[in-house]
Amino acid sequence: MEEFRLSSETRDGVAIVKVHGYLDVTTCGELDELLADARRQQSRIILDLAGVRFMDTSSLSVIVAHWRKLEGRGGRLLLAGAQQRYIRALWITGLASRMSLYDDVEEALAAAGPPETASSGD
Amino acid sequence: MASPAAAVSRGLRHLAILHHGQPGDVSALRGIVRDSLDRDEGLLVAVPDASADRLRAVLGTESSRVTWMDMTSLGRNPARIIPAILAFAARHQGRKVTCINEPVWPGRSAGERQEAARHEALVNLAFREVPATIVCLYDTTALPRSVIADAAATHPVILSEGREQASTSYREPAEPPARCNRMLAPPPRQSCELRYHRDLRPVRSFVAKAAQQAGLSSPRAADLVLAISELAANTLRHTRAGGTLHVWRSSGALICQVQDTGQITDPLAGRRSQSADAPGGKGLWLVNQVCDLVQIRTRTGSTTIRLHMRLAQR
Repeated sequence: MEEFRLSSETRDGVAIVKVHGYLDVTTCGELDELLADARRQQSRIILDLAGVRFMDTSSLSVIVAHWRKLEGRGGRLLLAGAQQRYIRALWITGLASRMSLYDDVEEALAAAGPPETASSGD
Repeated sequence: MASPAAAVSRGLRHLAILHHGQPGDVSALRGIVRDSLDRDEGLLVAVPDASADRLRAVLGTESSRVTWMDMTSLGRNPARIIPAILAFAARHQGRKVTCINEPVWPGRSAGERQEAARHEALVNLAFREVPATIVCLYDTTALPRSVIADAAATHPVILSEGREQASTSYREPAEPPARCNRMLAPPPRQSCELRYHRDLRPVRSFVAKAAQQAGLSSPRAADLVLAISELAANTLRHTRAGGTLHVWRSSGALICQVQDTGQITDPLAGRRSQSADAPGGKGLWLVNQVCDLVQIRTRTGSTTIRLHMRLAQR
C-alpha cells in the first residue's frame, strides 16, 4: 500500500517541502500545516512533488490557497517534479498552465533566484 | 426581436427549435445567428459534426466568426455543457453570448437522454442571471417522442413549424422531468463490491485493478481512479457511515458506483464554471469532466452516483 511522508528543509533561503506518496482528504491537512510553517519562515517555497503518486482536488485546494497567499505578498510557490500521469488533477483543472512548474528541485531553485538576504544558506 | 422568454427569465432566453432534420432551413435560426453577429456578441455553436456541416453551409463566410465545439465530445457527459457555456460567457465579460447547441442527438442512450433532459432543466437555473441566448436543436424526424416532450417541459419557449410560442408544459422553477429522478436499477449480481470507511487507498487500488482488467487506457484509468477517489472523499467529508463501491461491466462501458448516506442539496453541484485557481468545490466538477456519463440520485440520507467510462470497441 502507498505510504505518505512529508519532509522539509531550507536551501539558500528557499523552503523545500517534499511530498512522498499520496495526497488526498486524509493527508492534505498535514501538508497544509507544513506549508503554513514554511510560509512563516520563507517567502519562497518549492513543493517537490516528484514522489507523489496521487493527488485529489482537496489537496490541490490546499496548495492553491498557499500559492495565492504567497503571491499576495510578493513570494513564490514553485512546483517541482509534478508528473501528469500521477497528478491528473493539476492538468484537468488547468492549474498546470497557471502555476510555475519545473522538472526538478534544482531547476526550481535556479528559477527562484538568488537569496533575498545576506544569508547564504548553510 | 421580442420574445416571450424575456418575460420569463431576467438574463436567459432559452429556446428549443424543433426541426425536421435540416436546422439550417429554419429561418428563425438564421435570424438569431445574424442578430448575434451583427451585435458582435460571442457566438458558440456546439453540435455534432453532422449538424455542424449543415450549419456551416448556411453561415458561409461568417462561420469563421463562430466558436465551434463538437457536442459529441463536449457533451458526451451532458453535465459538462453548462460549465462550458458559462466559461464561454466568462470569456466575453459583459457582452451577451449566444449558444446554438444540440444536447440530444439521434443515437444517444436512454441514460444519456435522461441526463441531457436534466441538463436542459438546469440551464434555466444556471443562466438565470447571465445575459445569454441558448438555442437547443431537436430533430423531430430522428428523436423519440419522449425527448421532444422533455424539451417542451424544460424550455420556456418552443419554436416549431415557423411559430414561436410559450411552452405549455414548462413550469418555474424548472424541475428535471420526473423520469430523470427514477431510481437506478441496482448493480448486477456479478458486480464487485467494496466498503470503505476511513482509508481511500483500497478504493483507488480496487478501481485501478478493475480499470486495467477492463482494458481502459492508462490515462483514462487514472482519471477514473481520481473520480472515484473524489466521490469517496466526499463520503468521508460529509458522512460518518462510510460508503459502498460497486464496479461492473455493461455493454461497452466500465461502471463504478458510489453509495453513501449523504445528500447533495445543490442541483448545480459540479456544473459551475471553474475559475482555475478558485479553491474548493472542484470534486464533482472534475468527475463530470473525466467521465462519459454521471448519474446522481440523491435524497435525504442517501446518495448514489454512478460513473460510466466507455471502453474502446474491439
